[in-house]
Amino acid sequence: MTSREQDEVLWRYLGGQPATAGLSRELATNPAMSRRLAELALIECAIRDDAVKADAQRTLRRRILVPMISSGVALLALLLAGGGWFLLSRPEVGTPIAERGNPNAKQMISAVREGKMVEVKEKPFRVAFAREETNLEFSPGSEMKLEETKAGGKRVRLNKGRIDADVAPQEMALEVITPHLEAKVLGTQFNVDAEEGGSRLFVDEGLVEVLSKSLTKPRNLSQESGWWQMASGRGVSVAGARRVSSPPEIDGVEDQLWESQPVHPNAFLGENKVNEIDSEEDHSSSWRAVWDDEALYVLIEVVDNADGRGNDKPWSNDSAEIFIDADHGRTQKLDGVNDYLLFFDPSRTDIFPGIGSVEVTAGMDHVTRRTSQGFRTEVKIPWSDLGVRPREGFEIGFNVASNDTDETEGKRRSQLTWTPKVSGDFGRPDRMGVLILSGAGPP
Amino acid sequence: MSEKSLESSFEKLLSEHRRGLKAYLLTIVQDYHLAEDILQDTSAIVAERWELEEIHDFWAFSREVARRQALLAIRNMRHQPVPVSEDALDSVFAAFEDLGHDPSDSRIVALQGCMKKLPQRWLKILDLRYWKEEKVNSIALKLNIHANVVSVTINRAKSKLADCVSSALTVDRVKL
Repeated sequence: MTSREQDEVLWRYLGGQPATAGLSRELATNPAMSRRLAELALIECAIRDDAVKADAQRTLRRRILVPMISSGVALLALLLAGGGWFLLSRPEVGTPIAERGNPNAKQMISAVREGKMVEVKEKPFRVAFAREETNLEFSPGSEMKLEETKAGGKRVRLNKGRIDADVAPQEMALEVITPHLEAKVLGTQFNVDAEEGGSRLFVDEGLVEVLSKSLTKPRNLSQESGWWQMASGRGVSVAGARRVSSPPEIDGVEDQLWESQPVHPNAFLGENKVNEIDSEEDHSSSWRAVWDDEALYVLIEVVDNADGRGNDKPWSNDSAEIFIDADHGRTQKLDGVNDYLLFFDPSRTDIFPGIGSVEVTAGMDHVTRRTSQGFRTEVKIPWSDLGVRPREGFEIGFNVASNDTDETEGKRRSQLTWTPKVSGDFGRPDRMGVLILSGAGPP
Repeated sequence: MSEKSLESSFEKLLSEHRRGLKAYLLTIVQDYHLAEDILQDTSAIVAERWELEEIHDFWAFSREVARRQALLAIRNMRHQPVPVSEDALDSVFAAFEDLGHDPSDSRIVALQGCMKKLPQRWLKILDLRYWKEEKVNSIALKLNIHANVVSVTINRAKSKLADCVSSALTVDRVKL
């Protein structure tokens, strides 16, 4: 049993799990095991100490970016310099190895070492690397492949699913490639979701370089100008909007055209101060988008079980928001030319422009109406108003958010957002997600 | 010794061993809140005996009282045998011999230092779980990760803290 496995057994015991005969015997005969149990129990109690709590919460508040500290850099460099680790049958330095937890881990790791695409079925599949503190956890439903880059680094291809990664400092960037984005990682904690029609990346700690990747015209990895950086607590989402031959009718109804489009959940919390979400029925939201030569069309579905209205500020009512950086200039403020922040409040009939947004034009059409589960917004935004010429592969900065309150003239209880952490950054197009105009897609 | 100074020396000793006693109780009853409750009973019994007789080894004595109280509580509550064997309990009892006494809060100070070395994500998860008292599933939802990842991260973070504190305290002892 490794020390990590031993700790896991002891933590489970301290958490109330019945002790096995083996644990009891081990504690009775192995003083080191008993001592470790004592040390863990002391931590379990000390962590609840008020002084520890106050100090840790101060640290949390102060931290913006935590530099990765690890002594593994030199070792890793040595390991990677050896090269060819994927091909060796014996687990040598840097070789991918499967961690326990998945009954098919052995077969799967063999396939991974052979560079095959692997489908993760019912249980998470955890890949570690021999003598390196890098852990990649692939969720059930993932399709993944590990490759070695020409420079000797690691590359993960995630066709779909999710990866939670804890990456030790790397000499060569670890690359993660989904159908929609590419990321370069030198050592950090992050996760990536790849879903139909879109991908999300969130950086827990450290720094990740990201490139949105056109669905129709993938960029060359060496094209550095497209990369931008995501630091701790930030991330980016990328999605495609399919081209349609006939536009949806703007009536607030989810017609057949919408039913066939990929749904993008607003999976991140946007509000920094208050986030009270009791359940998915209390507040959850998602959106879909399509385009044609005339306009961009967006349907936002908000689930909300209590009508909150009456405040003259729509962000304090039940409402939805759309952010657009039409020329994808990724500036730090709305540029006053073609950047929009639009609010859709089911208790109002107009579109409410946010601070710094270009004014709403007559060409914009929308219907926002209450539904049995919450409310729905359907909106048409003409390209002529955005001042750009649409074409396949064209990217705009984009984000969708929803706000929930359960009172009349109350305060916002929670905010959800498609691309992470925009609250307080409403005027920053450089922190929006990316919407890529794609082809017609499957019927 | 006057009654007042007797009382204050008892309080000082109890204060220096309180966290150690609670941790020791936790290893028997496997429930933090129950350990807190039993610590109250234990403190009362030890205080009573402190007034009646001379106790030479406060730590060993109070641990023994704690052990008996914990076993009594388990038998009363669950009507079932204790979680581990008597031999295992003896071994854990011995393991606490040089771990439970912390007169200068050095373990807390070391833990504060070690907390600062934790990755942001781990610290955030500990914050939500321990200090904001959120459930694992709620944290998973909030951070958009699986509940089992939350649980594993919490344990991993605490293990790292235990290693770090242990190492810091060893260094301190060497310095002394």
